[in-house]
Amino acid sequence: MNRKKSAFAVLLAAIVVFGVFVYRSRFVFDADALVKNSELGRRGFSLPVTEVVSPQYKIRAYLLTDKTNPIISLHFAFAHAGARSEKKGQAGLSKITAALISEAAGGLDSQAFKEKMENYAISITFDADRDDFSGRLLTTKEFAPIAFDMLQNILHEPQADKSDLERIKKQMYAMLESQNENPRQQLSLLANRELFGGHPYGSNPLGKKEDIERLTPQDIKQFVDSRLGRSNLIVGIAGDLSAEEAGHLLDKVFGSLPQQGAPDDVSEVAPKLAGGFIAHHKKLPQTVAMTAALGTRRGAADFYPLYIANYILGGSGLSSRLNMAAREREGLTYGVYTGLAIFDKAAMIIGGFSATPANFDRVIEIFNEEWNKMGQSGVSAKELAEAKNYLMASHNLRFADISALAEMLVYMQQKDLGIHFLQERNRYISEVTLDEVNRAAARYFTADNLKIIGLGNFKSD
Amino acid sequence: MNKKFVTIALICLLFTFPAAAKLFDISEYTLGNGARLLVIENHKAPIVKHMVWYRVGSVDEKTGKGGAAHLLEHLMFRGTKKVSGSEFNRMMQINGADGNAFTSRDYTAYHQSLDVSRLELAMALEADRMRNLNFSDQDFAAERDIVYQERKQVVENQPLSGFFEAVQRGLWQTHPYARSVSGTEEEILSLTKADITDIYRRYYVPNNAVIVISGDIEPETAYRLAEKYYGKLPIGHALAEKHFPKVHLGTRVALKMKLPRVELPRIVRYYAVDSYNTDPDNIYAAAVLADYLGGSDTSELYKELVIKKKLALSVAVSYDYASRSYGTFSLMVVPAAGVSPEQLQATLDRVVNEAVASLTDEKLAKVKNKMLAGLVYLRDNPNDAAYIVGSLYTIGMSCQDIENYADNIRAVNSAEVKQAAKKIFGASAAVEGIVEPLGGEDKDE
Repeated sequence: MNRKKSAFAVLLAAIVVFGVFVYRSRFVFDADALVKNSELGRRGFSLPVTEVVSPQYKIRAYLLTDKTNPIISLHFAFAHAGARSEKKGQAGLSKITAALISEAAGGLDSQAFKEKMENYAISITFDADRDDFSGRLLTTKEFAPIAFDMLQNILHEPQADKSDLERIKKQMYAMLESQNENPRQQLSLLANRELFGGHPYGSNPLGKKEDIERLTPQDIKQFVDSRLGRSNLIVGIAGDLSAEEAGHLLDKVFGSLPQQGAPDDVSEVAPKLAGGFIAHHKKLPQTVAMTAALGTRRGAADFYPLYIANYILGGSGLSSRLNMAAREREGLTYGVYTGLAIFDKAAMIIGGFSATPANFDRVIEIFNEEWNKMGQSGVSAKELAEAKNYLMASHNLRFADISALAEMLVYMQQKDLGIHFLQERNRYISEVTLDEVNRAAARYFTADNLKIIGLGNFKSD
Repeated sequence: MNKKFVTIALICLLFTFPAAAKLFDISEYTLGNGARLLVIENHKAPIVKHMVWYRVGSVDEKTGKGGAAHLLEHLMFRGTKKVSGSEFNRMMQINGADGNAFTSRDYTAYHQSLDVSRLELAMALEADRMRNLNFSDQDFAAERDIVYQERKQVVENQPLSGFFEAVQRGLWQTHPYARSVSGTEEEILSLTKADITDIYRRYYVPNNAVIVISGDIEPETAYRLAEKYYGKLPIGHALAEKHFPKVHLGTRVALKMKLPRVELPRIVRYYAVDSYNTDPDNIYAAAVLADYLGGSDTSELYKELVIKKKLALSVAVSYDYASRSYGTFSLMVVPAAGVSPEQLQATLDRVVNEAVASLTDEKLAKVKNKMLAGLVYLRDNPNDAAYIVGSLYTIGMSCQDIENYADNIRAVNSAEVKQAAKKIFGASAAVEGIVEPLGGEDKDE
């Protein structure tokens, strides 16, 4: 090669290098470099959870002390005391109790009790789902003694005033009626019946009007006495409270509860998935669909593999395979999702979407295709790596809100995740292998393990 | 991009808050190109909320182009010259960000919750799409179909939404607040790429943007980074102050609808009233009035209509002053079973008048205390703080007024509340709407 040529080659190479440099800086967005070179490095962060055992009654709780703000959040659940603990003829008792007991207590009537809460910025609410009866309290540190007193009054002297009960019953009838205003709620009630039949999970979580009509203040008091005990109590506390303060709080608020709470006396149930697609016809502007499949328990060996496979299929928002296919590429629906739904007595993968009748069949087709493809071919190493990245990098977002943390502490105990869960969780995610994900995908994402239930108009109408 | 049709009920969030204490401790900056930056420190976890607000919403759309601002919001996730197609979503996702966007009448906002180590990435991506949006025809068509499906899902499938849209049209008449943020079906389907780029070019400029960063970051660091990523964008043309049409004060609209799939009757009253932008001095008295009348289960209307007279199942009164044009004062009542809306309607005026007349200093002090008692909770969640501060600032509220909320509420006296009631109920454009079940033909299967 002569000199001229080699000089030309050097020049050419320089131009190419310069060109690439210009191209990269002007036309390429390098996300990895931005994160790597960011002056805001990753800060080590760990808020240890401790287990508190109260001095007198030996009541246990998970506590996460965070003194950033002078506020305290207390969450608690009475296991198995939700709708599934209702006896025949009392459907709705757990919801009514949840609504009624925070109305009045400690000798104050409903108005005086609520005013007291408002004046001290205390919030105490209860709820009942299909499994558990739960409560949450939010207070400032300053007025915490008043808040704990009020909660203690509620749990020990629930007033269950007759006129309050009558008012709440009427509000509940209205809620039952308004369920029919919302197509998704309507579909969910239909689906519960189809999937779970006569099992308590098949019933309306709000109860039945004819049962609610018969409920008396005595029923409410009996519910509290017989279902809410120390044996089924789970407590999580987050915020400006020391372990010692937490121990005294536990004794004070929960100490005089009876030892025995609601028993775990409901059997396991497998949702009925036979029969493929079921259409319920109703005049609606847009057809709604819900999907159901068998899933796995929170503590099972294949939980994290399935969790990740589901994330890739339909759990990752707009970037999920389902949304990329049905929404981003074809514009058929506002959104489609799948998620793991784990109840005490049934573990499922559920999903849903809405689409106008002209698009509906195509979304079903895509849903089936993507579901089966996940089962047959699994995920790629790149997809797994990206899913793990999200799941690990987003871990700290849960620390934004003190109430969400207290709820997390209850969840950790309900699902036996262990006291070090928040520190260990990212390791659990990182250790999942491609093979494990694909084995879980092959097991759960099969054509037989999928039922789709629709409500609305269909092309054939 | 869900939950987009945002009507803020900030008053609900604003609840013994020490005198002269700042609500959020906002650090406020203006970048060289006019972009505003608000920083709210919260160091409890290494996370931040990053938001970019644009002062453009459905009120800025041209007639017949309803839904354009909202469709643009969707298309902002469809790529730029450097970050093509759906890459924005993928980059945010693999970096652990939870993000979304929403459009309202007065503004559009984009946001991410993320680990602070990823904040620079989010800033770079937002700055990029403020200037370099570039979507394909195919993506435009798909996204227009998606917002059409969104309207079907979020609006039309909900039986009450037709009623509320009619109530808004009745109240606002020719004012742009009469329009639906989503646009009508016909409007959505007729939108063109040019309609979208028109809004983008005019309004997506640094001098029309408010950047909010709330979380684990020092204000000066946030400012430096904001200059680094947003500050290099060229300033846009100056945006003229928008002039809104006047609402005719004599407007009194009565609307009665029977709708399929509605199960419970409802009565609503909406009033076009002052906002922060039309009369900033009077908004606090109106806010106290709303709370006094129907802010909770201990309010006057709840006591009277639900507990004593048993005519209603629920009552809610709210006041939204955080808007670029008029504010809205509203009442909503669900009649008890067997009580006709007309029966309740007749009692409502009397009960409201009696409640206003019976306001004493003692009662006022109680209401104000209730409103202020929970303000300390606003310091907990950096996401909530970003949202509240961003929305108030974007409609024009000064940081000083945002911070001094507690003092401003404390300063309200009972004569001012009565005066506010007189103006709202006696001299404001108003609509009363009743919706009832259609009955009969609305059967399953």
